[in-house]
Amino acid sequence: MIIGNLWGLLGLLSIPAIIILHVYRQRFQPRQTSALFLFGPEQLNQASGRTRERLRRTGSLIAELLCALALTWFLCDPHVDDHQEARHLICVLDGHLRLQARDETGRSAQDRARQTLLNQFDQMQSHDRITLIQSGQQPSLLTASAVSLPQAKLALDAWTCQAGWHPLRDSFAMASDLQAASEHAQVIILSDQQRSDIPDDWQCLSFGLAQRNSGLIDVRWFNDQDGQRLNLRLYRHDDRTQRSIDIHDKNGKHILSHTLDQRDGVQRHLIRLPEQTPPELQLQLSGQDHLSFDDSCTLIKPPRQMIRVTVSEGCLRRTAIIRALEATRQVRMVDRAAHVQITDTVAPNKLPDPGTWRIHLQARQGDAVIGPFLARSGHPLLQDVDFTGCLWSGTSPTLPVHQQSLLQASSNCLISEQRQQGTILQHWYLDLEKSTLHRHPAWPSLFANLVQWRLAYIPGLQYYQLSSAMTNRLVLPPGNDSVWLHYPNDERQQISADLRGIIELPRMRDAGIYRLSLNSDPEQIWQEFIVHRLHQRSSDLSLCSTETPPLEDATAGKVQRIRTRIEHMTPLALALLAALTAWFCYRNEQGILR
Amino acid sequence: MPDWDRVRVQTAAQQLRLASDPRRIRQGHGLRMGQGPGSSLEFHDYRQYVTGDDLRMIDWGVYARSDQLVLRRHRQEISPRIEVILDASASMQISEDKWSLAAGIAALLLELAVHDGARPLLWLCQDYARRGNPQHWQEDLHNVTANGQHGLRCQLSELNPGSERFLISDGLYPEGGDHLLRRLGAGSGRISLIQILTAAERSPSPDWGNVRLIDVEGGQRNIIVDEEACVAYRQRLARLQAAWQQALNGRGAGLITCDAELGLDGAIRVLLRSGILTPGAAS
Repeated sequence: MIIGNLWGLLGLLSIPAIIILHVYRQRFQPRQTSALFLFGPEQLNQASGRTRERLRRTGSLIAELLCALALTWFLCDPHVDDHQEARHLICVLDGHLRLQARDETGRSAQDRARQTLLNQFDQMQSHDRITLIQSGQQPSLLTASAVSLPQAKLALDAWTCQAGWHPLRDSFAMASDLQAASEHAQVIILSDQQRSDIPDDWQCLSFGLAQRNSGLIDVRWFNDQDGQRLNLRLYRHDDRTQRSIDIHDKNGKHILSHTLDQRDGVQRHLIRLPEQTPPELQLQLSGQDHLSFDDSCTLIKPPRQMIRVTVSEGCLRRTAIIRALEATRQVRMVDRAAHVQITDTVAPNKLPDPGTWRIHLQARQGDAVIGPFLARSGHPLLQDVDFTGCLWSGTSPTLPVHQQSLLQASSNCLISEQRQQGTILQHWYLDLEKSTLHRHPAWPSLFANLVQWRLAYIPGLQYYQLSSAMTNRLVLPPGNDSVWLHYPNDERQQISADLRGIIELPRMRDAGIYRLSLNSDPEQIWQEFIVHRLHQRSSDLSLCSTETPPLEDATAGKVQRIRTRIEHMTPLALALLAALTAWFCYRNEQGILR
Repeated sequence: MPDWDRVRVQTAAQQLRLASDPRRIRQGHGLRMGQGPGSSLEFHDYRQYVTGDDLRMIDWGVYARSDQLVLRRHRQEISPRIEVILDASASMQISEDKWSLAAGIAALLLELAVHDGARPLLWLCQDYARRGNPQHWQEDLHNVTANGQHGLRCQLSELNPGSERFLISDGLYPEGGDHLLRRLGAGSGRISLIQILTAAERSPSPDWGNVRLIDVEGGQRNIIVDEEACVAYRQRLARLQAAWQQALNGRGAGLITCDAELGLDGAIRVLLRSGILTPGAAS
């Protein structure tokens, strides 16, 4: 018999303590009487201190001793058929999609790895322990730490290779921590490629095959001034077959096909889509290869992103302003409900409408200055704008209250900014009659930066197609501070925005279509985006290899015993029963005796 | 409900009789012969004739023989009342033997009273005094439970004057017998206390040690019962019994103590010794 925890034997010290308590316990046995008044009050005088009484074998004594023994049993965990020392094998299972690549016989790398591992389990002793770690964006344990062989075999069935590309270092770190916590644990990696970034005492078993493959690695759907296009990146390795991209709608209706080059490496293709393109497309790489997941992709049509701009009538140099804005090809001039309002007539400190930024042009009495000027570092409006040689007149000699200076020349403020209630109010202290800014190369740059800056705050998603390794950014419409995210598996989660109304969406582990709604109703979809698992490293099978060296004999080390539920509960249940019995016996002993 | 030996009571009632009380108030005609002269047919004694006596009572045979005028007197006929006051407080049922004996003695006294031509009356003192049915005292005795808190402290306002009263109790009242007898013995002929005590009540054992004594009629205390405590207990009990005896002195048989463990036979022997009972069937 093995004592799992020797310190638990200290519980036996409670036995003499219980006996001493019973010996010295001052008991007043209850007894009925019919003439209490005949027993005078002087009988209350007791000898000082406790006296020793004969130990009586009462029910409460026996029950208390049994309770102490049961708790000692629980604490020291004696067991017969388990081992204090056993071999502990920690297996890191690569979860990349790449392991689904099939060989000529139709078996995937995962199948071969699983079979090899099961064979290894059969050669181990029944008391040996296994820990299974599956890699991923967030590595996970398929089993608890150091489980028995039968449990490990069952858990191995849960191993899936469904993850997009991810680094394995997080999984290695988990394995390293487990190895450090367990004496003499042996770590093996099961993957399709040999690893060079592992410690010397680890072993890597690879089951991949360097095979030819072609696959999609990135697909983007864009709207621009000329219509809609797909920007496609494709990887081909040792695949000389004639292949093409077939584009269908979600009902399978063919839209167009695009022939691919036969050269190796990364290819980029720009595909023009017809005008009446449905909102959802299916891309399929024709032909067969060893890895199928990267041969198809679903795309969602992104909304056209334009900003609406209003330039007030009578605004000085209005034509030049409009021309500079329209040069960005992402601006639409409107009369109202604009994203950006450029004016020189509205009262300077009057707040714009919610969701509208205002550029207020006004000339002040400050000095005329010639660039370059001092710009606020990192501000998106002034990114890469060179004002050298630009004559700027109408500056403001003082900075008004509650405003921040963005562009300064000595003590004169050229552009200031005020942020209030989620909107931006900028003041360009500029006399366009006397300045040369509108004829300077900085003029279109300034407006191009303005447009890009404003586009980043248009309600909507940053990406409508993205890989599982990418994060996404969401801007909520004004008046909303949270959004409901509906996952492909029909789960949903409410996410709150920051003070700017922006949500940074984390990497999505599962591929599929994610939907966003402004309330909990999944039918009222506001935005959608699709996550795919395409990645160059997921499609590149050139580095795959098969190397299965024999596992080194590992020495046994101490392993933590995991008690089954029955082994856990039995002594506790006995202790509880004994405690209850002791209580009842004590109460009975304190009860009435005739 | 008390469980007394009915057969033994019936048997004893055939073999015993109540000793008569010479101080019972004459109730007129009755089934018993009194000690004094009366109007029964049984000869009592002669008395010298005095002017004014009833001439029909003159014994003319004596006059013929002795020329002396004497009156012939006959014995009186009496109809006594027997009242048995049974203490039905909780202390009486501290053991089955004690309560059974108390009920057995009460049944015996009542049965003897019936045989004697007396008019028995049963009083049951629990939390209040209840008079039993004179014709159905057996049923009342059978149904009573000793669970009262007051016992002999109850108010008995309808006691018959001149009756012979038997108190059946353990007498364990802190206020003593004198206080209780003022009410219980008022207007009575003879009154006696038949005290029934268990062995533990007579003398606790020094082996009890540390005990929490719980009085069945209220109160509890942690006490160490040792030899010294037992001696003190017995002294207090003796004083209590002496107080009862003094209160009952000259009013009847006094205090008669019966051991509950000795049962009805033992109690009968004690009652015979005390003079409450006499051997022989009732006349």
